[in-house]
Parts: sequence; structure tokens; C-alpha cells
Amino acid sequence: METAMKFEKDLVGEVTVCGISGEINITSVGELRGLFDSLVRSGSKKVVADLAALEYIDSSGLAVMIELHQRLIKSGGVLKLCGLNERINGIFDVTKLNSIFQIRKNRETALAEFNKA
Amino acid sequence: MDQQTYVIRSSLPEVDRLSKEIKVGWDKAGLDKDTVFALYTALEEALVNAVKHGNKFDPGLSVEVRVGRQAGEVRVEVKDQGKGFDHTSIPDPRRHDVITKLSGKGVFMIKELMDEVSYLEGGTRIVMVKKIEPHTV
Repeated sequence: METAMKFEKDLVGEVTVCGISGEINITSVGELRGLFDSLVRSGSKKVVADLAALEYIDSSGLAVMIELHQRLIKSGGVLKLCGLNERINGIFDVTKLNSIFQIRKNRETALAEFNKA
Repeated sequence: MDQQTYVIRSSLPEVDRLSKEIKVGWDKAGLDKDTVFALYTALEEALVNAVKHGNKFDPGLSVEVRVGRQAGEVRVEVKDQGKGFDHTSIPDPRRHDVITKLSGKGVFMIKELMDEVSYLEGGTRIVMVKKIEPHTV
């Protein structure tokens, strides 16, 4: 089934940058979970999820982001989210998930933090 | 009130298809992007709940959706054929002990995104209202 989500992966030094665009919803979340699973299994420890082109996220989408966050923490890794537009940021805000995730303005800021550490 | 009724089978592809179809209507009606975002997200959450939790994906059970528009508001109703549930029994997902739980955020998101939410008929029917600028209709 074709979903309205696009996923791109890039390696910038030691940091895996994932660009997720479109919609993370009940029909695309399975595919995204599989992509994140491969990422973790391949040993990625520093991950930036660039959500600048993400238009919608539902509760199943929040769940898959939480899963990735928890798996990375368990393996000694770190996840940073970046580029959230006002509406997506609003979702993370009202659910208080902005207290769980490291949310940065853009990819450059997130990468700079990883490089500083 | 300008109203349309839809009936879908209990399947997630149907949820996706109908949500998108209704969203196109809202976009064409000239609703602002924030309003469409709230309506589309809440509608999809309600539909998923109806199919997954209400009808338990039973292919023999259907979900009815009514979307209405009148000056000042958009009204969306989703009705499943399940046994119902108590929406007040779901813990606040912002609580420290459940914030990273993978489930339990959908109902809260609906309540935050919409201006009025009512659960009727034992929880098998949800009525959601979003206020809009009167001249938008």
C-alpha cells in the first residue's frame, strides 16, 4: 500500500540523519518502524530525525518516535528531532513529549550539538 | 447545515482513504491550514479508534461518519458498532508514569485539537466540533 510518507537517510560523520516527510500515520507507521529498526540494528548511536517536511503525525506516529528514542537510549545512543513546524511542534507540546525529546530548530543545530559532544 | 454521511468497513486502508477524501473537501472549502490540521488529525484518530478498539477490525462491522458544516463550526461524528468504552478511564498521557507509553494518546489529542468533544451511546459515538470563522463557510 502506498503511503504518504517519504524517508531519506544520510550519514554526516558519525550522525545518521533521517529526513521524514509527509505523514506519519497508522498506514505509514509500519514502514517507518521497519526503517528505524534497521537503523538501530546497524549500530547507529547518534540520530537526527529531520521533520521539517512532516505535515501530519498521529498518535501511532508519536509511538514510533518514542520507540526509537527508547531503543537508542537503551543502546547508549541519542536521538534529536529538528525542524518541527508550528503545528507538529504543537502536538509535541500539548502531549508534553517536548519534555522527553531533544527538539532543535534545524538540522544544522542538531548536528552541531553532536559534533560538540 | 451542509452534511455528508459516509460508511466504511473496519479497515485501516479505508480509514486512510476516507480521511484524505474528507480533508480534500475541507481544503477546497477554504478552511485555514491550522483548522484542517486539527480536523484531519482528530478525524483520523477517531476513525482508527472506531476500527481498532470499537469494531476490533471485524470485517462484518462498519463505521459511520457524518461531517457537517454551518456558519461558525465544523462538526464531525464517528460511530462504530462495538461494545463502547469509557473515555474517562484513559489516564492523562502527560503523566510522568505513562508519558512514554506507546498507546493512550489518541483520545487526548482529539480533545486538545477540537473545541468540543462528546462521547455518546456508551462511547460508540464521538461528536467533535471545531469552531471556524463564520465567513469561511
